[in-house]
Amino acid sequence: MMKALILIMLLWAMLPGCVSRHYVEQQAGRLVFFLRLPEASHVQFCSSTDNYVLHDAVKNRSGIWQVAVGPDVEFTYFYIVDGSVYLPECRFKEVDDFGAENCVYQLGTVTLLSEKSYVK
Amino acid sequence: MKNFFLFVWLLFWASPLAFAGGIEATLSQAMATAGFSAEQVARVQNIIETAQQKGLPAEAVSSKVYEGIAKHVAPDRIIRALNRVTSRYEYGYSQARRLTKEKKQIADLGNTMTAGIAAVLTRQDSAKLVNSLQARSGQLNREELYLLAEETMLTARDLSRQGIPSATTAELVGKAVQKGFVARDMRTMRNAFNLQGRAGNRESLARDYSVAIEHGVQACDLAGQSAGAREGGGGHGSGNGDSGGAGGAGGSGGGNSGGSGNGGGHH
Repeated sequence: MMKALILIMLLWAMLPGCVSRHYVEQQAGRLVFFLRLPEASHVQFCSSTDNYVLHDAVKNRSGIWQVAVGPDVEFTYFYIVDGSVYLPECRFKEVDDFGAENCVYQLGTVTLLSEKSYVK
Repeated sequence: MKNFFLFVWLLFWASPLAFAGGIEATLSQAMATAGFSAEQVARVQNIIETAQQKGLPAEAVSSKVYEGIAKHVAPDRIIRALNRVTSRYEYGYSQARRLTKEKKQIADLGNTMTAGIAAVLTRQDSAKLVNSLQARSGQLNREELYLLAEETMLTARDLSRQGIPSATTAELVGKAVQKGFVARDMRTMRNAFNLQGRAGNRESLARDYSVAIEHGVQACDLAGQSAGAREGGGGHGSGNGDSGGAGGAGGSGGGNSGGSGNGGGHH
């Protein structure tokens, strides 16, 4: 019984590590980006779809920030977290010509599989 | 009636100017707010105009300005970045012109090549791929060659964006071209790679594909071959931690044949 309890507690402790910090879902024809960053106090999303206008993300109770953008086939993006540029883990990247990188969203390689762990 | 035609003609003539003016006004305003000097604004406008004159996408240049402003990059650094962007596009478009003479095809192919170079593909390796494609011009008609070029560059771009070293990408994709892959085969390979690349070490997967193609494996069998090689002791560690246990490697037995797989909507 004790062993089972310890096992459950261990699994519970490991759970946040298994959940992706960054993923995207398609919801009602829009792309919703999620970023698990509970310690952040202000998160903004920027993408090439609208000339990098800053969009405020909203934090839910679990400390996951989310922001919805219009559906697009492909675009580059990054976040501004508490005033600094923040690049989450992402599979597709390119250089930004300022000494860092941008994430690239590509339709088909991400959303059609709709796996949070895949998107990161 | 004559006046009506004159009015319509003027409307058509003026509309692109009005559009260009609109872009310029918004951009000028953004630059002024970001602290660009009059001289720096003039330099940016000059770079945009030069890009337009060369037939390069001016939006790519203005987009980089907006990106720099959003990242609070100093104006001088933004201008240096614009020169890198235009140089990259100039190169991508010049390579595209080696494969086609049609304006839209040059733009599409050039944009894809430039995107690959904006990732990790080197200019030299992209030129090697164009050489391989040119070597196929005797076997394929113009349309087939263009379609193959398009899929080849999309594949090189996708691999590069996933951090596969340029030399590995050039070897794999170049080998596929040399071994007689047609556009559909290249798309099948890209889809299989994007699917299998969810888990494990992608660079190693690219090398597995390269070896398989060298041994004559067809595009539709790549997924199965590579999965088999991995199960047979060719494990590749945990990769870059980007897959998070996404599970299987795209099925066995050539699961992605047909060319329409998951990545059909890339562009």
